[in-house]
Amino acid sequence: MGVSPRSADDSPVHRLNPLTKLVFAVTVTVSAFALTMTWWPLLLFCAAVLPMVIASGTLRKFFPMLLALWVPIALTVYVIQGFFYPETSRVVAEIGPLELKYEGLVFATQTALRIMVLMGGFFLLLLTTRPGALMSAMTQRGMSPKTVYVVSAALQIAPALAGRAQGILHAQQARGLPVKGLRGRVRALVPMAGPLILGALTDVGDRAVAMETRGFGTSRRPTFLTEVPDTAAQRVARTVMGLCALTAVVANVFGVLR
Amino acid sequence: MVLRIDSLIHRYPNGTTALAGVSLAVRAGERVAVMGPNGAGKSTLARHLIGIARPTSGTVEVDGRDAARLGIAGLARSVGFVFQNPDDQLHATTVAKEVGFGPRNLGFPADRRTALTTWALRVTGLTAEADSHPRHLSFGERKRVALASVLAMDTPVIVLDEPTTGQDHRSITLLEELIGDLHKKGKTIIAITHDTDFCAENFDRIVVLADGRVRWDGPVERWLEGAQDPSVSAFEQPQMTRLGRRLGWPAPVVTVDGFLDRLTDHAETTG
Repeated sequence: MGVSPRSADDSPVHRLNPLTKLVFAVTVTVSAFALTMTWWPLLLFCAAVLPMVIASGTLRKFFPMLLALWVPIALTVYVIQGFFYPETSRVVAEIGPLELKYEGLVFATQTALRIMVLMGGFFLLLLTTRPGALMSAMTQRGMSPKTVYVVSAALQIAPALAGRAQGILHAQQARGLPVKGLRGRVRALVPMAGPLILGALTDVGDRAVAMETRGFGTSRRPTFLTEVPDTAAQRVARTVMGLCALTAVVANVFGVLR
Repeated sequence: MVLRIDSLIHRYPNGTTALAGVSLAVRAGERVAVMGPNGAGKSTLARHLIGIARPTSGTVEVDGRDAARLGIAGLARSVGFVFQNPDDQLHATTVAKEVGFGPRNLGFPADRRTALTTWALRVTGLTAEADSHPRHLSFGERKRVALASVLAMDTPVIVLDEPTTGQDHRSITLLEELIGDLHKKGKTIIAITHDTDFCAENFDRIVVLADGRVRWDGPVERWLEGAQDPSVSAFEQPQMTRLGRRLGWPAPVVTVDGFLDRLTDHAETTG
């Protein structure tokens, strides 16, 4: 049985035009990376992303998804930046030959928080939007179907691969493959990664042929089975968010709000 | 009983009830085909047999042990499961290594591992492909590699998920011979299938699922007697059964051998 990450609930956030949610995700991401105050991304997450997640009613799906992906990345960032920060800086602690540096930890905190905002914005989009609706909305705004497909595929690849990985894990475990403990996990790497990667590559080839045979590559402008609703208020909101993102980039370029 | 399923209910997180109180007992050495329309709960039932799924309520026991508690790895020595999609498991660089993967994981000694791998390759018609890369084989051949890799684990119970899908006539004949050989060895074979001809020729007992419930459990011939029953009419009947009905024979025949016996009896009776 296929499991979609999209919540079955309907909420005002679900009903927003997918482009509005996409622009929201891009704006919070650009803002988080453009402005360099350390705690700015956390403020952005709490003030913008979190209220949207709460309004969408997807909190119970959002946080497990976010933590499962963000925590390993954040830990990696802390280890790399904390111990190997390139600039000479204050040493907080020493572990054997390794030195934990203060500036490295600050930079790691900022980077991890920025990644949290990025993931938060796009997970919100993923959990509240049908991929088909996003594709239709973008194509209706005049974007090339090929570009739209790339964006949509990028958003769907994580849950699709996770589902496939689960199937592969079960198939290998059924053949007695131990996957518990560090040694088991290392041993499971090749039997897991091989079918996963090769399967994904085969799927890409098959899907490309299937889409081409159904006229995806045609130069004619496609028609739409369903119109994705949009409102004047949302168009204004998207413009405002775009301006906010632009302002953040300009502020970064001119060194304002540091 | 090698398998005992008692009042099994499985409800998915989205509220769909896939199994609504299934009870089933399978003796060692039985050949059981599980049939049913799409969405009947066949795959969910199969997932319980290897400990992938956990019951919402009810129990699944394999050799008297709780399958949900043992989990997939714990059941690997008891139940071999041939997944429908072989590409979910093929990772080794040669067919022989792929087939030897399970026995190695189970810690079999080298001589037993080699003997089982050689045997599994032979009975699946893959000896000539032992050194080939699994990904270079056709889909049907890859399915046979997946089957061989499970056979090499020498489990007492073998579950086949849609074993005839994508298989040519030669492969199906090989599979039928193999099921007969495994039956003689005392293995329990359970197949999830839509193929009534395959089911009629190779299985003693049929379990028909619909809407998550068992609608029929018994011999194939008895099932086909109720031709008007919705659990029967939902399937294309075996060719021999259809031919027998066209000839006006009241009791259904299901196998080629059965048809020939009936024809001989008929010829003797009519002089």
